Amino acid sequence: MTIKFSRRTFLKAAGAASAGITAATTVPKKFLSWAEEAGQKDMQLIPTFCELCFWNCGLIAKVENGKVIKIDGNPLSLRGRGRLCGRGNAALGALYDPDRLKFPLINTGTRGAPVWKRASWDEAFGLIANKMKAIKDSYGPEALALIYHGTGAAFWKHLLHAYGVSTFAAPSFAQCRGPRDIGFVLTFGADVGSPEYYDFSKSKYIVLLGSHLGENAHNSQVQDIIKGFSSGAKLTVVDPRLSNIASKAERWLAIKPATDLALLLAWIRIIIEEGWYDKEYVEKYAVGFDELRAAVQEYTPQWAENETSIASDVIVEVAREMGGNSPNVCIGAGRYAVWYGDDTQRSRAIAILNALLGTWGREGGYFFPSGGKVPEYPGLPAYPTHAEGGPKLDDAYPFALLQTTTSIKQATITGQPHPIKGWFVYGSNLMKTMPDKVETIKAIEKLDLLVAIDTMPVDFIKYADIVLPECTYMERYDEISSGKFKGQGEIALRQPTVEPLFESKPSWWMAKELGNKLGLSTYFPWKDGEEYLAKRCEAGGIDFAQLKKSGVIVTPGKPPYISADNQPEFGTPSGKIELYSKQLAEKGFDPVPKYTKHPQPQAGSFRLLFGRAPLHTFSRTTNNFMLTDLQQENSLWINTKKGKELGLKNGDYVMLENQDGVRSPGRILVKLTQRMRGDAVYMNHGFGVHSKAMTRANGQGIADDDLMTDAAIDPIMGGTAMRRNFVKIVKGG
Amino acid sequence: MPSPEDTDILDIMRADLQRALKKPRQQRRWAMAIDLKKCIGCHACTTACMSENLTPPDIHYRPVKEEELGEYPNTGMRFLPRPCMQCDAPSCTQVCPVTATYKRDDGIVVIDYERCIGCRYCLVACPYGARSADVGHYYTGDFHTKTYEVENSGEYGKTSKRTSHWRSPIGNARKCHFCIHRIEKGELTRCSTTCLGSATIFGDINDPQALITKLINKSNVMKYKEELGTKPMVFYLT
Amino acid sequence: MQIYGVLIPKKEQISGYLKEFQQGKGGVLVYLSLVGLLVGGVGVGCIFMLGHGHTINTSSYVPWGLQISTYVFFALVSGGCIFTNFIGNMFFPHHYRSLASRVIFLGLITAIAGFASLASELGHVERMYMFLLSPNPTSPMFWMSVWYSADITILIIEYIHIQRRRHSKGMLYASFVIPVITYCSLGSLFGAVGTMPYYYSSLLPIYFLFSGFLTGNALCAIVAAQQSRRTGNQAAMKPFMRMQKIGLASVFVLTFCRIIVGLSSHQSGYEIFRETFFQNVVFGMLGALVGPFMILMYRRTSAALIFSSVLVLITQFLARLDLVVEGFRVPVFRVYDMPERISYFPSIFEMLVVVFSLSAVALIYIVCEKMGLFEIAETIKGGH
Ligand SMILES: Nc1nc2c(c(=O)[nH]1)N[C@H]1C(S)=C(S)[C@@H](COP(=O)(O)OP(=O)(O)OC[C@H]3O[C@@H](n4cnc5c(=O)[nH]c(N)nc54)[C@H](O)[C@@H]3O)O[C@H]1N2
Ligand SMILES: Nc1nc2c(c(=O)[nH]1)N[C@H]1C(S)=C(S)[C@@H](COP(=O)(O)OP(=O)(O)OC[C@H]3O[C@@H](n4cnc5c(=O)[nH]c(N)nc54)[C@H](O)[C@@H]3O)O[C@H]1N2
Ligand code: SF4
Ligand code: SF4
Ligand code: SF4
Ligand code: SF4
Ligand code: SF4
Ligand SMILES: [Mo]
Repeated sequence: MTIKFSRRTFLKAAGAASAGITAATTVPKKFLSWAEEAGQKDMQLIPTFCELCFWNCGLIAKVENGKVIKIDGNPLSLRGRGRLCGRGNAALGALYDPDRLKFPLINTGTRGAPVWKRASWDEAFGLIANKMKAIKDSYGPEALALIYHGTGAAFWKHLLHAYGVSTFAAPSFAQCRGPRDIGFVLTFGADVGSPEYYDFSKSKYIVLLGSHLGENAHNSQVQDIIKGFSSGAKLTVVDPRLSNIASKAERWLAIKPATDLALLLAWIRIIIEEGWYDKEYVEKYAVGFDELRAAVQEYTPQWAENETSIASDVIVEVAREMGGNSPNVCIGAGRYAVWYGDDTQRSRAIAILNALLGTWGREGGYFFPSGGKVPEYPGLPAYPTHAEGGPKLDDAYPFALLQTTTSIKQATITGQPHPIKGWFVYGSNLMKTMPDKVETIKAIEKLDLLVAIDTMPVDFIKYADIVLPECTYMERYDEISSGKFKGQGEIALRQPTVEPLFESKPSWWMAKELGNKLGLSTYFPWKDGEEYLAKRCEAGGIDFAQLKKSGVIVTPGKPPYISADNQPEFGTPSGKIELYSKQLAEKGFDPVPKYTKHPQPQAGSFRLLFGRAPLHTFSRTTNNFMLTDLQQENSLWINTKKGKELGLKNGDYVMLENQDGVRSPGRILVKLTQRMRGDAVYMNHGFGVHSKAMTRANGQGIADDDLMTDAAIDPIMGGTAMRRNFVKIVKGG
Repeated sequence: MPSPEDTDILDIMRADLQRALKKPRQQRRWAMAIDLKKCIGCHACTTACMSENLTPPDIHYRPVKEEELGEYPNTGMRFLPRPCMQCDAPSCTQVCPVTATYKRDDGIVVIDYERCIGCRYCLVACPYGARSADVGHYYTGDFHTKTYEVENSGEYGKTSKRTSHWRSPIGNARKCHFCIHRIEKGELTRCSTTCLGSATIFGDINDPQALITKLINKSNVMKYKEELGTKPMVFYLT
Repeated sequence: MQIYGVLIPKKEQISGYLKEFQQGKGGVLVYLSLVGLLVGGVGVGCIFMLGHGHTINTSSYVPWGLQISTYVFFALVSGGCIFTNFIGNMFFPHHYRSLASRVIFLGLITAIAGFASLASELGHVERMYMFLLSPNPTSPMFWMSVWYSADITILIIEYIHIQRRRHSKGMLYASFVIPVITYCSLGSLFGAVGTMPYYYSSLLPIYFLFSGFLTGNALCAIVAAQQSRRTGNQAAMKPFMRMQKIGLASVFVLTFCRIIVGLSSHQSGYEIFRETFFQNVVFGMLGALVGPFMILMYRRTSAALIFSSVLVLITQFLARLDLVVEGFRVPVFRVYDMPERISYFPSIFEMLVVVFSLSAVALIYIVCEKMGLFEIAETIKGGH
């Protein structure tokens, strides 16, 4: 967790291999006690891990007659502890979806209006290889980019890296966690990880802003927070909507959307002025306290009340409760963080508040994680090096420590700082993932090559030139997943539980075959996915046979809290917690977060908020039959009183029209609820699928992304803020 | 070293289960406690049960109801998971004309898939809506024979394949059976093992040492629709 | 025992009619109901071949639908025929005698048609023997099956007696008491379901008894009106008018009570009475009960009797469907995407079951009538 502040080390730390993982090799009894069903004596139990979201919980497939017939959680998995969430339990609905992509496809029509031709793998790879060569010849390898989300992307990264490509971006940065990670890196020199290093189970006081746990089903994290409640933790939730977790809170602060920073700054002020902060800790580990103190003077509780609509005495009480329980307090950093455009600063404020309360490295706050990585395959040739000093894609966003999809999109449209002519898109449904579709399509139209590697015929597929059907996570070897936890780390294996259905193939195979076509076979010396993994494990001292049997190997780690002989290191330039950030100041940003007012909805319109459904992951599960059986469409949450004023009732269908006059292509079910403020409406993301080939999802509900024409970009790190859109309700339709 | 409070509640329940299995069946009294303070409305139990019992479309042995309480801004929420209550005075078994559904000596209300005539009277009679009729739907349409959907769910510890006529659940009433097929092999019910909130406690209430017994004695207990006299064996801790 | 001429028409009557039938002189209704029987039979066949999942619109939320309501309808009609038989024998034997065998015969075939509809609804009808192997004495449905069997047996015996002019008072009383128990147990099958506010009522057994009387009697009234047209004996029809008015009035009172009791309860689930209030009053009471009553008040012709009887049969058929289905409108446990009110509309296959049952009743009765089965009985002398 000591990450020096430079892009280079940051990236290195993210992909570094820590050698010498020593692992326990006895099969724990738990693992052997899984029930065998009647008449299913020959049932095989094959452990692997889930990919229905990125928590990657361990699961066990029960296989009979060459079919997975049931699944169960893997008790060894630290991310799941034997449990799977509502989505994870629906693995069979992903594996056996009849709508899956079945064969490689070549688009002989146009992008957006495809005419599909079924192709052989060889034909598809041949076509891709030719186009790649053409792009490389005319523009250099920098003109190719990979946009990815998911475990199998590792093989594509490897392939493209070997080909000389250097642009790899995941929407989980600029469309998700980026501002949070950067806010924390700027403050503590380290991010909060995924799974986050929250010590909820030991907290005395927890504050969540947004973070609708239970609806966002972060498996072990949900378990931890519930455990925390049992040992007396108190919870305050700041959310314009009574989220599932807010219903468990002592206090629900129904904040006016887009004003969280005001609340945070007021809290900082109270904690400083009333002397609640951990003086010793701040003195010892932090710099910039005086500047911070001076900068927050204007943010009085009364001022914050006007901004946030939360009563000033409540603001003060919560601050005192935080102070009183310090340092066993965890103010959650959030996860989906691209809200309003000043999100890095909001995350900075959260980090600063945590720093003042001394929660970093303290019981019940943020623990220091343990766990390492498995080394790379031994003896691979080095990747080709690039000419340094050329124009950097993300120069516009000085603290974009990871490359952003935002910059790829912009460079593709403008050709600046260098042209991008080919996209590989792995496991990312860009039509729903990126805001502002018009712009996304504009970028796509500039491409010479667009390859989609996916499992389902999602909305994005129809823009691809070539579609490569990957088999699902239940049918393949994949990259090792290593997780960092409190006092322990884990290594998890994904392995096939059944043969791939149709002609779908795993990424390790696709990358190797395409690599061969590109003359890169020296980068792919392994026979198959199994051998690739076995060699890597061997290199890391991990018993691969054991890993295959148990799915997860837990490795012992280091102490999670600060103590006399466990002193923290901070990867910031000053080596301390930076309450005042000189780096930000140098680049012309506010060194201490400053409140900026965001527009609020005009009379008759509502802010469009969105979030997760417990039973769905974005658009990746919208066609999963087990899940559609429970929730097939999304609904529009409207405050009951407000809705009645508009003459709406439960069960009505309405359309929405946003501030730019864009109308939702479909209709959405009205849900009148006491759980919402009156100035915003809410829906689950992922629905409103337009692809007809997704037979269960097509036309169900509407898409928040269809109404997202205003997406401000966070100038610090390039995140695309998506909660700036306002909608009017259009009846009938 | 994990401290005692770090022990996974599942391990405690597994130990309870092993103790109960050592006793003769009629001395066990299976029950479930659902801690509403801990239930986070994640619906994991619902889908876990669907996958454990290979249930067809529209049949959910354990849905979770979401109830709003109060008015904005004093709103509250209650999540109410509903397995079969395994009532001590069940109205379902009372009405079954052919005793295809009956209460076992260990407290579980079972359905004999080879005896049920599919009259659905029990569906009408259950006050909890805990029963469903399996009319033979498949999720995966024409593709179903190639998927898990026709395979043996192992429910009730018997072979029940949907493709066979005599041993198929199709045509019958279906419901939660406290995962008899798992508990009798020493594994907890699937909804308790997957419960993210550790809110689903399962065990033998004839055992004073069992976690469930301690919990229902200690906490406030709500029995759902108790006024109907069904004597539910699912205890909601409030 | 004599079969030809008692249980079924005499051989020469059969062959005589078959000839006419072949020449196309079998009667329009016969051909129509034959077509209905075939088409309905295909529907029933489909249900068994394709399975309920593909043919029937009931679900776990609406477990009972048109097939069950059709069963209830026919079962009650059958019961009604027997009451008519009883009342006829007791209070106007002279007018009634010529109708007796027809009435009992109708009672018999409607009971069987009802069962056919029920059988097509069961998930595993082939396991009916379980009623013998593992009976459950606490189940109203079990008792219903016991009494239903007894009822059909009694009907057969009574029919044979009538056909052979061998009347016994004992049989007459038995053929009154057993149906009363049968149809009360059918009523309690519904009425005892504490969870279903729309069913749950101690009034329901009595309501069933009277609406059974009303519908069975209406069917007999059509036959009676038909007969009096043929024989020109208007007087034979009169008691049926009176009985129908009594039936209408008593069902009216019971329906009214049921609604009032339902409306006055504020427990959850009872809102269904409020929601269906308008429909129940306008269609269920005014249209279905007051309407026919008015017709009978002001028109005393056989045509009016037939008209009001047909009206009664149709509206009561719908009332049975309403009773069975509306019970499920308010879901007992509403979750996920379930609508607040559950709606149900029968599938084409379910409707074909009705067509099948109706056609079967019509075909068998009309053919037997045409073959003169019931005439023989009139001419057999003695035995009294
Ligand atoms: N079931 C499920 N779980 C998931 C996912 C999924 O798709 N499905 N996705 C995973 C991923 S990748 C991510 S990033 C996370 C996202 O999960 P989170 O990080 O929890 O997402 P948030 O945006 O914080 O949470 C949405 C909540 O923010 C509230 N909100 C909206 N506007 C404001 C505001 O202005 N201020 C405050 N304080 N609250 C506001 C909304 O009302 C809503 O309750 O979930 C992860 N977990
Ligand atoms: N409007 C709006 N936009 C958002 C968000 C939002 O809430 N609203 N959330 C943001 C957040 S937090 C995130 S993290 C991103 C997520 O962005 P994405 O990861 O793009 O999200 P999904 O829509 O789930 O798309 C996943 C794609 O992966 C495919 N897939 C699933 N499994 C596999 C596999 O095993 N292999 C391959 N090759 N493909 C697979 C799915 O079919 C689907 O096409 O979206 C961001 N964008
Ligand atoms: S949280 Fe749920 S969906 Fe995500 S990996 Fe774990 S089980 Fe799978
Ligand atoms: S909950 Fe319903 S199905 Fe379960 S035992 Fe009770 S009455 Fe029977
Ligand atoms: S459906 Fe089966 S279990 Fe239910 S009452 Fe009828 S026979 Fe009994
Ligand atoms: S006990 Fe088993 S059958 Fe019952 S709800 Fe839980 S998982 Fe489903
Ligand atoms: S799994 Fe547990 S926490 Fe989640 S909904 Fe079910 S009972 Fe509640
Ligand atoms: Mo995300």
